[in-house]
Amino acid sequence: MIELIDIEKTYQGKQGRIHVLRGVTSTFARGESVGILGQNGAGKSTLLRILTGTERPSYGKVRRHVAVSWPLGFSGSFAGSLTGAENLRFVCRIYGADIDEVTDFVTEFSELGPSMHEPVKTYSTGMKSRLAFSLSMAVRFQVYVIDEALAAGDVAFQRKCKKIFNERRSGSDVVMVSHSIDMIKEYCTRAGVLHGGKLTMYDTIDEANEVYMRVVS
Amino acid sequence: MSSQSSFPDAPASTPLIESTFENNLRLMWQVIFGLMLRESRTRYGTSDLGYLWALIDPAVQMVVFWIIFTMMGRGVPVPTSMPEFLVTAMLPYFFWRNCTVRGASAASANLPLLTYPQVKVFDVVVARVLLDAATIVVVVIIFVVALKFLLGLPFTGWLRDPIVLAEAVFTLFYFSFCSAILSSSLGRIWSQWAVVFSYASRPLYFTSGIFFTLGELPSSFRALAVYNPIAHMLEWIRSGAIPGFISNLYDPLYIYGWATIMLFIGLVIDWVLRAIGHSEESH
Repeated sequence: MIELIDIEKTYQGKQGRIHVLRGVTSTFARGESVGILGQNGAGKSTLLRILTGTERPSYGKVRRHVAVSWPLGFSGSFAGSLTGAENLRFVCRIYGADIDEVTDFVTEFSELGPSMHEPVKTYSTGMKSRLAFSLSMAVRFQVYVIDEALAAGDVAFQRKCKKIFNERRSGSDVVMVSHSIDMIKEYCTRAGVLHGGKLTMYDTIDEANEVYMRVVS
Repeated sequence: MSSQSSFPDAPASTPLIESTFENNLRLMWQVIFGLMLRESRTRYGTSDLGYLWALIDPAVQMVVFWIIFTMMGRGVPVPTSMPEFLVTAMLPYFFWRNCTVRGASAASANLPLLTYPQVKVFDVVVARVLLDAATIVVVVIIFVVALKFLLGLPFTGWLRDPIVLAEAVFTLFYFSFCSAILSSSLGRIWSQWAVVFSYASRPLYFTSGIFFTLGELPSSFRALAVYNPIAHMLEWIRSGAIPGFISNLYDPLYIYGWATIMLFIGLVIDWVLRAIGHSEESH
C-alpha cells in the first residue's frame, strides 16, 4: 500500500515558486491498479516521482509499504561508456538482485545478444529501450510504475513486452500516468484526474474520463 | 509468440522493503558498493590509461618543483630528499582536493542515478571518497617503489613512526570525507560552488605547507599559517613518515574540530534539503 498524505510540491522557477501539487491525499491499496489522467504540465510526472521516492514532497507525508519500481523502461541512468551488461550490474547491485540471473534473463529477453557487451552509446534508440524494458521486468516489484510509455522496440517486441508485463501484473499492481484512456482501461481498475494540483479519484474509469474530457475542453 | 514458455525464466529477486536498521545498513552498503564500481569504470572513460593521470599529475608537479627548488638553491628543511619532502605533502593535499572537488558535483553529475530512491547524495559522496582513497593508496605504493628504484630511498624512509602515520592518514581520510560532504551540500544549494572552490582553493596549494614546514616559518607567518587545518594535516603526516622529522606544531584537535564542524554543517544542509523536498538540478 502507498499512502500520500496532504502532498504539496513547489519548485523554484525562474520567476518565483511554482506550485505543482496542492494537497494530494490518496491511498493506493494492494490489489488495485490506478491510472492518473492529466494534461501536460498538470504534475503527473512529479506525482509519480514522489510515489516512487525519487523526490520528496515539499510538504506532506508518503508511506510506502511495498517495493515500487522505477518508471518502466527508464534508461536515464545508463552510462554511455559502459556496456549493457555493466549498466545492468549496477541496477542489480542497488536492488540486491542476482547479477547472473538478471543478466541471463535480460540478454535473452531483450534479444540484444552479443551487443550486451558493447558500450551503450553504440546502441540504437530501440536497442536501448529494449535493454531498459527487459531490466524493468527482471526485478520483482509489488507496484510497477508507468510514465506514459509501456512497451519498447518494434511492433513484434512491443507485443512481447505487453505479454510479459501481463504476466508480471498477476502478482503486482500498476500505477500509471497517461493521457491515453485506452491504456488506462487496459491496465487499471480505478482512475483519477490530476488538475489544478489536486488529485480526484473516481469509482469508474469512465467517470474519470468524463471529468478529464471536460477539463481538457 | 503464442505460448507462455517463449519467455526466459524470470529472476525471482525482490527488493528489500522492510525498513529495519539491519536492512537499511545492508541496502546502503549495496548502493555505495555499486556506485563505487560504476564510478571506477566511468570516471576516466573506458580507457584504463585514464587512471595513469592519478599518477602522472602528482609526478609531474613533484618533478617541476624539484627542479625549481634545486635551481633556486633551496635546501630541504627536513632530513630527507626533496622528492620525499614534496610527495609526503602533495599526495595528501591532492587527495583532499579531489575529494572536495568531486563532492561539489556529486549531486549534479549523478542526477539520473538519484531517480532510484535508495541512491542518496550522501552515498555518492561516500563512494567517491572511497574510490579516491583506494586510488591514493595505489599511487602512494607506486611512488614509494619507484623512488626506491630510481633514487634508492629505502622503504623504511617512509615510516618514522608507523602509529603516528596511521593516525595521520586516518585523520586525512576523515577530514577529506567531511570536506566532501560539506562541498556536496554547498554544490546543491549554490550552482557556482564548484567554480568558486576551484579558484578559492588555489592559494591553499602554496600556503598549506607543501613547500615548507611550519617550523621554518618566521613566527609572524606561522601565526597565520596555523589557522589552516590542511597545514596541520600535512605537518602531521610528514612527522609520521619522514625519519628525523618530529614536529609538535600540529594540533590533532584543531583538525578534528574543523572536520566535524564541516560534516555537521554538510549534514544539516542535506537534512534541510530533504525535509523541504529540494529538487536537484544539473549545472
